[in-house]
Amino acid sequence: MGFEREGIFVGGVVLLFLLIVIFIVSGEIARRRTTTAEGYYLAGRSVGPVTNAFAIVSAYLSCATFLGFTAFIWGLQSQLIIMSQAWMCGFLVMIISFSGPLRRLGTYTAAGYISERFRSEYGRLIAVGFMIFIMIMYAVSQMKAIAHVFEMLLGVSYVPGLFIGGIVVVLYVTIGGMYGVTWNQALQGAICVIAMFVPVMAILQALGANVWYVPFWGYGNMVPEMLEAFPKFFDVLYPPEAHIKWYQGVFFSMLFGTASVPHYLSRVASAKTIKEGRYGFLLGLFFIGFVNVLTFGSGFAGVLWTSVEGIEVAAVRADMLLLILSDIFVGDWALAMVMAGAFAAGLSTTAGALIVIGTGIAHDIVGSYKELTERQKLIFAPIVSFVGGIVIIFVTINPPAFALASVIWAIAVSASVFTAPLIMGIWWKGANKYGVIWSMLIGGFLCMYANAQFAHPSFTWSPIWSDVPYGSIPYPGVLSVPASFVVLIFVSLITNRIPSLAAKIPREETDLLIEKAHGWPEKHIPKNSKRYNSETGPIIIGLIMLFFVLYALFGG
Amino acid sequence: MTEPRVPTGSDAPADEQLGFSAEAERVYKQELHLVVVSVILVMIIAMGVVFMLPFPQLLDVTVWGFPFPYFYQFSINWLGPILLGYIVLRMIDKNDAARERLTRDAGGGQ
Repeated sequence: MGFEREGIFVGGVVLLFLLIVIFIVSGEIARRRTTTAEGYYLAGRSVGPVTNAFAIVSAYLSCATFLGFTAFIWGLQSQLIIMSQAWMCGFLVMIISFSGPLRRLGTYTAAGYISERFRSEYGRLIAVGFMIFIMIMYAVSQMKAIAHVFEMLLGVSYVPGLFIGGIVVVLYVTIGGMYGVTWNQALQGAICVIAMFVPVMAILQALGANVWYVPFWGYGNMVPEMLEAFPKFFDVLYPPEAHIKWYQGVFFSMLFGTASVPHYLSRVASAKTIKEGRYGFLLGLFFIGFVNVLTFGSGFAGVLWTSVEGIEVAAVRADMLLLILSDIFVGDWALAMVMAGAFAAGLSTTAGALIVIGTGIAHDIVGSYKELTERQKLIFAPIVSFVGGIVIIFVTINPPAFALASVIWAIAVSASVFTAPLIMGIWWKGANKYGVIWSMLIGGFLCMYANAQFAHPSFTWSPIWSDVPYGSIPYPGVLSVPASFVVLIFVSLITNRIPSLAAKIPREETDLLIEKAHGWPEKHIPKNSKRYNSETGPIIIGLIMLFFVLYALFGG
Repeated sequence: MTEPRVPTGSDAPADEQLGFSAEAERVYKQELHLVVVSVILVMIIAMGVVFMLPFPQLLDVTVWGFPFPYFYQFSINWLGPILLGYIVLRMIDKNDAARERLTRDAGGGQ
């Protein structure tokens, strides 16, 4: 695709430089007010609903999603709209089913939750290992998207763009970006929403949308032209392109995944109160959906333009489509805005990913073998983050075709590892450490076994189950997520009945913990409370999930 | 990330003595039903297009110029879950308030 800009885009460089200065100043102000780890991660649990809403948007909207949704619509057409809305709805499942209890527990990472709820050191280490792996895959896609931004910004090719952009981001995150995470995320979220809304409006106007000022709904007049140029744009929602198992895969990988991704979870805890946190999430959900539907418009525009003009786009370059559309149909100001939005989205997500990697290795893995002082941790964690960032840059030299692919895969891994422990652990006292350890291991293994080559081309150990990317059995979550529920439920049921194993489960402590997580004061919790203890519900869920496992394996 | 808590155990008087056992059970079951039903509804809305699979002729039904399954995704499946979420959160708030009132009246508190 021959639409690369030549030379340095001065306006874009100035805007990105200004953004970095604003983020560093904002981070520095936050750092001076920060004295504790809670302040560092969660802004002292003092964030209002609107600020939290934009921080949630930022946590959701990575550079890979900002640019990648448009690219994925180019690749998958209307199928992406199913994926992205399932992704959005996963947040609602989290808000309703376990945001309140998690907030009462006081945990704000998946590993912290596993440790607190199941009282298992092995469980915590497994969770940390998966968290780091998920965050590396997340960061790989950010680096690819950031490389594309710097390609157009500096007029260079992919690899120099990757190294320059990657090093800028890693340095920013390591030196200053870790402070004021919540406040900076809120700022970045607001930038992302504006930087998507205005350029998409301008692109659709240039392409002939008759209600372009409502860019999420106003391009219906272009549908006949699309059907003529690309007849299967809407048909792909139906078989044979989208088999029922494809929907099952989206359901488990996307909807269940969003509910458990490590850096989304932390936003549950940053609000002033549980009530404000929930309504902040709902407002965040509105803006997430808003950005999603805007990307449908930009993706529609991209498919229409490339089809009508007969333009061939290499899949690996499709992530640049939104940048190119802004450049060709609108001009420098729109391109600068999209670059700013993509960069802001990339910074916030890379910061979140590197924090998880740095603290996970420094605190949770090294810290479990050798007691580190606070000063050692403060020095060691940023060094690990920096080294991790550099390693990720090298890994991204050979990137996945679509930046979004590794994010989707990371979310599927998260769904396979963390969602069952979160849902069952909060709502069923009988869920125990044996069930959760085996559930995480088997869910994680099954998810990583197949189709991982879409996440990164070096994962050649993983067989491809379909010739078409995201074809009939697209997502490993189709099997791994229900399997993780089955394992957790039935292993817990069995081990609770084996006296020698049951004796090692601190049921009295964990039962009390669950009651308190649901808001029951300790003095009103009867010693043999039956609340959250029924086995009927878990068995029904286990059998339903078993059906899904069998259907994924043997269904027609 | 958080320190493990050491629970102190419960020396609470029997619920029957406090006279709130039945009401506590009602609040608990209401919480359970509310969460289960609303999560199922969210899942159904999120995957609404699955239920349209037997009806490919829906692609010919247009709203604002868009085939219905596409329209569904960017309108009903955007604003619908938010509206549902708002209603459910209001009910969860009421459930939380009922639990707090119940435990406060019984001489407890958070």
